[in-house]
Amino acid sequence: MEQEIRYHVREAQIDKDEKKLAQLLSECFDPTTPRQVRRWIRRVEKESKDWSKSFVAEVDGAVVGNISVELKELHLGEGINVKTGGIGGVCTCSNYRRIGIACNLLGLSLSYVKNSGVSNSSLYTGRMLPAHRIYERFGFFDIETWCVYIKLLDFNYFFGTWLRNLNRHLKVSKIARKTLRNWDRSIVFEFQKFGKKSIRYRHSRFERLSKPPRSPNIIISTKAETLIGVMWGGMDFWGAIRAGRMTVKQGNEADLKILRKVIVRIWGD
Amino acid sequence: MQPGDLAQLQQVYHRFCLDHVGPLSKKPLFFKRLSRKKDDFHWVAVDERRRIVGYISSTYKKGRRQGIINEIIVDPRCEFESVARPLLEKVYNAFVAKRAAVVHVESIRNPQYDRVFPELGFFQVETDGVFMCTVNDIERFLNAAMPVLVSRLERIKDWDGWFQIVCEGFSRFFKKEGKDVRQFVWTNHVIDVKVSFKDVNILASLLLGQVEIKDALIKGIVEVEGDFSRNEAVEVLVNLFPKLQFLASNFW
Repeated sequence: MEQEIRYHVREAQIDKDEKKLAQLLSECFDPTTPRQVRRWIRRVEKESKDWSKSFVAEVDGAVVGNISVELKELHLGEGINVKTGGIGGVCTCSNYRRIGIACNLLGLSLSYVKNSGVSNSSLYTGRMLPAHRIYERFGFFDIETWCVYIKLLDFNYFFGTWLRNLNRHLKVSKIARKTLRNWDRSIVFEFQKFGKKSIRYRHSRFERLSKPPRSPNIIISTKAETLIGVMWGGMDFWGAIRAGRMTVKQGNEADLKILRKVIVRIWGD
Repeated sequence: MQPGDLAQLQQVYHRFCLDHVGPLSKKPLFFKRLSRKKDDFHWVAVDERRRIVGYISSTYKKGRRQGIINEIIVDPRCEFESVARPLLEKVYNAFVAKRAAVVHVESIRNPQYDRVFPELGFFQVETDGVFMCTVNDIERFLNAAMPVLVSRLERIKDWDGWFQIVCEGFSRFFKKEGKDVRQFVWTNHVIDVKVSFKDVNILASLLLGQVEIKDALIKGIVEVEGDFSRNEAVEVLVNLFPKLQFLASNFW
């Protein structure tokens, strides 16, 4: 029988937790330094005038979950703003997911918001994230989605930056490394406008190949716009394939499943 | 931009916000910092009388060669395109001069952006990003939202009477006489228009521009009854809950 994991929740402390929080935020979002965490907490404290709170969940001295609440405002029209509890930084370490830590932290934050006299809470999230379902369970409802306008001036550099960021993310994300363990594959993207771009995953990192390999594991033909749409989560990977906006010339389903995770950077099942 | 632009920048932003709903509040410090920027990524547009009618704020990330347009704000009294386009071109050229590899702008459904960005060769990509909201305390939310309804009731012409809002067991009463609107805790007067919301989220959605009142009435999530004819009541409701564009310029 699996042993029940014991954890406790406490308020985050600026000098004590910044390193641990940086590790956690790096794993769940983008690479974050302790200095960035310190600056973020100080900004929140300054803007919210001691109203803000950050709660962390701890297991054996390790920070495994986080949530923060800031005092923000929503304009309801006529120049009238109402206070809102802005929820952010909701994350759980990949080893401790599905045991209710995020729900517990969210429940605590919503109680704090209500008890401190603020009538509503709001947050930004992704609809593809498992967290979206948790928020719905807590009564949150979608207000508005958003789009991005992009102009590519140097696609080669853009693609290289994407790969660099992906490798930076892999360095700090345990779940990403676990997903890609023993996955030694080469991928060729055939872009209609920008030609072929080849990459290979090996030794825990992606590398760019100067020319396409003789027998790549995956070949995908698409437009840059489509790939970016999938990266930003507005377009479903499988939906793009079904709609003919992405053509898989080579590659089995198992590899494509992993490639999808690489592109959208959502590693869990 | 110049430090002396601070007050005008705030005024333009305030006027712009009146046409929108959402997380839009900005602290004076934001405008103070903005007006001090001395680079090619922040510009103001002025009219022939040297009054500020719009501004653009952007960021350049050198390491990523990435230009990010944070916002384009235009005084609603001016035509958006004619003010936004020169501002955008100015910043875009600055990004090109810095050898930007990519320029992007995040928009939470600002339909005005559709008129300027595609023309400059930008393509639109949907994201999975979403803004979510929940009401934790119905009574408090009603209290906070009532001034909005009072202000709108004051502006309605050719209608006077008693108005009631019912939401999850909470009621608010209003009496409108000309431009004078008063709020009451309870009354046994005959109510002319009584509006019932299925739940508080419907009221929040209506205020945040996500549901149109006519659709809500058709779906039955908002019910209206009273002495006035249904058409007149609907007319009052359309004025009370105009369809406003949700925007976000305050992120956390």
